[in-house]
Amino acid sequence: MTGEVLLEVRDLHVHFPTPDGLVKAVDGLSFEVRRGETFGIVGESGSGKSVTCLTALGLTNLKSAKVSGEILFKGSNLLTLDKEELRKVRGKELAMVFQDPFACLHPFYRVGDQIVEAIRCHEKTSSQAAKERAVEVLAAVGIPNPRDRFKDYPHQYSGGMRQRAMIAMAIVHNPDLLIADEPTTALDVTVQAQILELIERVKQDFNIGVILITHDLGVIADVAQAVMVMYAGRAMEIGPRDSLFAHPLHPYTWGLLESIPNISQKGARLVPIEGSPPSLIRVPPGCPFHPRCPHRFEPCDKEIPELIDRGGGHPEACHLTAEDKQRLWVQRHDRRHTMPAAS
Amino acid sequence: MTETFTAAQTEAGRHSVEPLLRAEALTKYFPITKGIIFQKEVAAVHAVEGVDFEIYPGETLGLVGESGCGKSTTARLITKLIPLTSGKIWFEGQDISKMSNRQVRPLRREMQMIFQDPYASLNPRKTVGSIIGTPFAIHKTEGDAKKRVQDLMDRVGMNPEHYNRYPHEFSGGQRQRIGVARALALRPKLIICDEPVSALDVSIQAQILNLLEDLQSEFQLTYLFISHDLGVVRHISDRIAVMYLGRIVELADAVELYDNPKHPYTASLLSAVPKGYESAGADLTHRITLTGDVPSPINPPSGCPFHPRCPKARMVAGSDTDVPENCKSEMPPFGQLETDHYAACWYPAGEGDDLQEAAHA
Amino acid sequence: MMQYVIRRALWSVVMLILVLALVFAIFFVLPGGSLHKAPGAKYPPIAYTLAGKHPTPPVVRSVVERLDLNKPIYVQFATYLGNALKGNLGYSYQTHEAVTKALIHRLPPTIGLAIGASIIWLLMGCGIGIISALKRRSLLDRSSMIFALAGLSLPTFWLGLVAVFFFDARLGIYDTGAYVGITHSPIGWLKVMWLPWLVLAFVSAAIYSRMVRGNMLDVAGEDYIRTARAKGLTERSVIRHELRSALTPVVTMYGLDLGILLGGAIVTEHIFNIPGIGAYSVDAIRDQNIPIVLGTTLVAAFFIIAANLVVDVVYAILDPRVTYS
Repeated sequence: MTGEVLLEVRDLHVHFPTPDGLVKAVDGLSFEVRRGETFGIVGESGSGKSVTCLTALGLTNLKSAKVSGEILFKGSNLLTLDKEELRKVRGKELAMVFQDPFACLHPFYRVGDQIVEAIRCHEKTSSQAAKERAVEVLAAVGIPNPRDRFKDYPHQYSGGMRQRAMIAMAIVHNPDLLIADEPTTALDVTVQAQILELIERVKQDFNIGVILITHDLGVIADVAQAVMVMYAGRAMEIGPRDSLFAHPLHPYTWGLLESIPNISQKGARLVPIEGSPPSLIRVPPGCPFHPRCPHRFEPCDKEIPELIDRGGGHPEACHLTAEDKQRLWVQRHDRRHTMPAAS
Repeated sequence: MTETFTAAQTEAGRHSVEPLLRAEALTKYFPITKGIIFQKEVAAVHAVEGVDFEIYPGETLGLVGESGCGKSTTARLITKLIPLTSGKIWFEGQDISKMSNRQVRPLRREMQMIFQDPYASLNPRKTVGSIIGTPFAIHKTEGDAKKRVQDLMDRVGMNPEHYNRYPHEFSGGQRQRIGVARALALRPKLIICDEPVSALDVSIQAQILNLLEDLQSEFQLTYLFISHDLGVVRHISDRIAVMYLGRIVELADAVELYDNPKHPYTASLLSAVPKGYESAGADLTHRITLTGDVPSPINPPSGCPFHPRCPKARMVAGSDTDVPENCKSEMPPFGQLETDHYAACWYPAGEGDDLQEAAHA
Repeated sequence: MMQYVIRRALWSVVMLILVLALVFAIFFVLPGGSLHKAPGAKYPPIAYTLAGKHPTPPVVRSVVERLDLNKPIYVQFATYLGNALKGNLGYSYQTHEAVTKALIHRLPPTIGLAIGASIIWLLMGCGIGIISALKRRSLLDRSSMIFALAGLSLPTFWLGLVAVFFFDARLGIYDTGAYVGITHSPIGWLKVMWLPWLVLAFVSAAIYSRMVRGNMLDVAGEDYIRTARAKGLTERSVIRHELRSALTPVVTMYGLDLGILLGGAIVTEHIFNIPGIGAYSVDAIRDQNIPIVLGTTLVAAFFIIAANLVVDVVYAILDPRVTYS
């Protein structure tokens, strides 16, 4: 089902110097994304999920960012490309869709013209041919009357349609990898479902890879094949969806899963993770999650656990042994399901 | 007093108890005017249209719906923050819909609000202590305000020593605790929570939800809980009202509503939510994907407002494009379909309806 | 849209009448105003002023008759409006010159001054603003900051006097006080106008450059600029996207500023001896020469109201989100 490795991130660090100190937005991150798969990245705000992808595209806002490591896209390191080479990749082979479709289209230009522009900055075609192509992709993403809607301005589109237009713009050059950064967070649930279906269809029709960044574990469980859980700029665990949801290996993932109210049944009392996410300027030593982890022990506040695959293709970064994890997860699972219902 | 609170939780008890708040035919139009010198009304945003509901003491009534469905406007109407176009509101048996701002003021002690954005709803130039203490000052209550504020801070899980800090020194979750403490200060009976956890990360969201539950049982609070997140609403609510384009389309006990939705909109909404891995059939084909977007509340569709998107109506009509005549022409009554289960639909969903099929057709 | 413009235009007429009524009322109501009849006085002060150095009752009476001063204020105002509609704005109390004619005569210098100066500040302001935003924290950006501070802190009257002193008295390359009309000699006109243009433009150029720089930096942080980069646009095209958003508000500000200036640049006209509306109005106010005050006010209010209307229409063309109906 999945094909060759499209994107390989190796030991990526992205640090921003600020007057208050060094912000370690991404700190030693490695993962790979394959063709034909949806790679989900989950994490709370400030976990570094967006920064990672923006860095790959060379779009981090601050020029002062210190970046090290490698981001290999189809074999070539994006971090060593010069500006013009990177521009040629951007939008053509590697495309991105952002969170807020209300803010992501230029309010003064017609939607169609913005797509035409995307076509013509990578391809020498006549404006007429580009226009035809734009109408085609608008139709492909499900915009009704694309020839008329081509001439509309973004404010004449609804939120869902704007996100469709953004996706149209992203797929116009048949990219190899589509990065979708919280593509449905700003949309209503019924529209969210439409957009997720569209991304899934695009992935299958074009046989591309998709990175889906979200804070919503439900979305990830629905559409991703592989999942990476991030916390404070690091990967806590990376695994196939089934393995990750059935046997999560990291206490942070456990905490996340237990924090979410269940829509399918009136659940037990929620078990929140104590405390708040750390400041990225003062990331706790050792495992960044240890101050909030109920299972922390001796080495957790000193040694940074490495991301290790202990078999099963499901690497995780935690000092607990496999046996401990097994025992603790079952314990937590049981406790949660025997607790009296809330209220 | 305490007896009524527990009684309210049971089916039988609910009818013997006076509702804490009752809204009848609540309607709010925001006029759109035209003209420079002489303004005339050319249209109106039908923000809330004939909404009826009751909130019983001690319960949590959830109000769900998509953006622009009128749920926040409803909250602002019942707290008298904006004037009604028409309709009536009774609070503790007293008709407050005609009351002036002055007359309402004492009632504000009894009805407090918690807002979505803890960043925007706290004055950045005031200390936490004075923010939480403001209600005491406004309503001129007796006693040592500082001590009471610190007790409140302690109660909502904040360090009372942070009395003199400013909102920006706190994280989002802590700020929402400040908002909760402020709402709690005057020991209100009803707290209206308008998307109180939507801006928070999941791990923090769970902390606030637990806090709200604890406070409810400790202080016998009644909540109107507004959210677009169906998981959160189900978790916290006893009964749930679903809004669409300014109307309540379905109202039922939380478990009943989620297990047995009657209105096709509720069914679609529920099926659109990603179920998480633990649920069976966690993939996209089990969704009833609605086509199109929510229509504009300026010119809401005739008849049932949901009919242009309704998969059930198309199924009944046996057509991909058409819907039955009464859906288009007449607003269905908000009727009791089963015990305490109300829905406004001509063709409520029943057993064996394959709405996915209809929606995908 | 057309309907909107017509409605706005009608509304503007109402506004102009209100402005005139207000000025009329000021002279009538305020003690010391030349139409204000002090308690016990038979006629308002203007009647005595205009009757000459030694006013005799018959002369005063004839002045009162001629100017309708014994009629109620609203009758006087209505008479004025009626004449104004016929194009007659009255006659100067002192020189008996027709105000309409004088205004027509004094409009070209003011328009020339305003347009010339505004073009200079627009070009300078946008140029400096754009470059300093693109080359943020560069030497040029920092120098433009100093320029902006200077512009904001040096008032025009001071700058004008220093300029006259420097270029006229010291260097002798400018000749103050000999205004030449553009129709008379274009070269001569340019020779007279370049210095007042620069002086008048200086402050606004500073304000505009800061505004443009700020707008550019704000826009650069917008999500749609990130989208533009993400789809692979060249940096040139990205900058074009930024300019489109950053310069649109400048149009509004420019239109309003120009409208205000067309009503007369009082200080600059005064310093450089330019016989425009601004200088004319100052003299008239000093002399309580009501017909001229009303006339210049009418001109100034007209330009401000017209500029507002033009700006609104242009904005609707530039920003597709704005529609009037």
